[in-house]
Amino acid sequence: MILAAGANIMAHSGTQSARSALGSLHDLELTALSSAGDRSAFGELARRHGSAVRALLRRMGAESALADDLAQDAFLAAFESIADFRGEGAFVGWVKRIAARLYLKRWKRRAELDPVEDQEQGCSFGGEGEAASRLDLDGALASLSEVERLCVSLCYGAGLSHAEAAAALKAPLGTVKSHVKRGLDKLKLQLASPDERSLAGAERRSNV
Amino acid sequence: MSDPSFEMRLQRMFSDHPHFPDTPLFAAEVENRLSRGWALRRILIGAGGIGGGLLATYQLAGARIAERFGEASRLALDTSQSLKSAALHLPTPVGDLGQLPFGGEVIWLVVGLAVLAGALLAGRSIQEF
Repeated sequence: MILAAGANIMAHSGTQSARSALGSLHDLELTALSSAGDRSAFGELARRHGSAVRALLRRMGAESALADDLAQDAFLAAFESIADFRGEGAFVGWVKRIAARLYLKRWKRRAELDPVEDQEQGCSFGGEGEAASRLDLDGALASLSEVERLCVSLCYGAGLSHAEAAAALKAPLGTVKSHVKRGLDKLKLQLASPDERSLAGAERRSNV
Repeated sequence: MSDPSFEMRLQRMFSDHPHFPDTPLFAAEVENRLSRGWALRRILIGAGGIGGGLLATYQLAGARIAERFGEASRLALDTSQSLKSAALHLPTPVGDLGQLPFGGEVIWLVVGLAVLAGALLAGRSIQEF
């Protein structure tokens, strides 16, 4: 049935009406069409979820141009192995995981050439007109070290478990967990409201 | 100690992402790269087919030449002529088309097919890239 609908859409492929018809389909229907080789259906998926994947890569620490290139590579890789997508989770989550692994590969290669110190750094994550909460998260992520940022983004942005993140990073599980823990502590402090922050400060002072 | 409510909040914040204004361009580029990939594959498969066909034709022709060469050698031995004179009787593929083991029309057919295939390949490449 999906493929029959797709055949109708493909007959008008390239037209505006076909694009709007694709726009009305669910992700699962689009992935079914894509696995039958419909590139315009896959283009619709890229249109729908491109921003999410690009944003994740930027949040992981990739520069804008690299994030966009890797996001494209991730979509192409997803198209190549679309038959493996069983629809058990969200399509965007699946592509995010592919993108995260691609970035990780690149990051590790760079880290081998230029070893990264686990130190505080102030990367900025640009973007105009973003919601305040988004700015909060991006600003807070910038306060983490590169490794902490990577681990937190892998686990909370790409949806990897700690074990999966450890396997992807080829690092001991305990190390990943401690990076995540440190990252979360910093984020919690950064993302706390002024009241919560002053309360936390007061608690610390009273403990001293 | 983990804080599930903060972790959930963080997940929500991660899923709340900016919408980039150039998303249509991004998607178009993905589609273009997909199309280029498919076109390249088709071209490579086509080129492989043509190459294989030409190789097969060459091998076939070569085998017949060798066959003819053997016959000529045997003929030369039978008539007890010198090796030099036998060699003079060998067909030279480039020198005289009439001495080739297959007709001249076969050569023209192969050349024509190769030119046609080349033209198709070039046309397709120009169209796709």
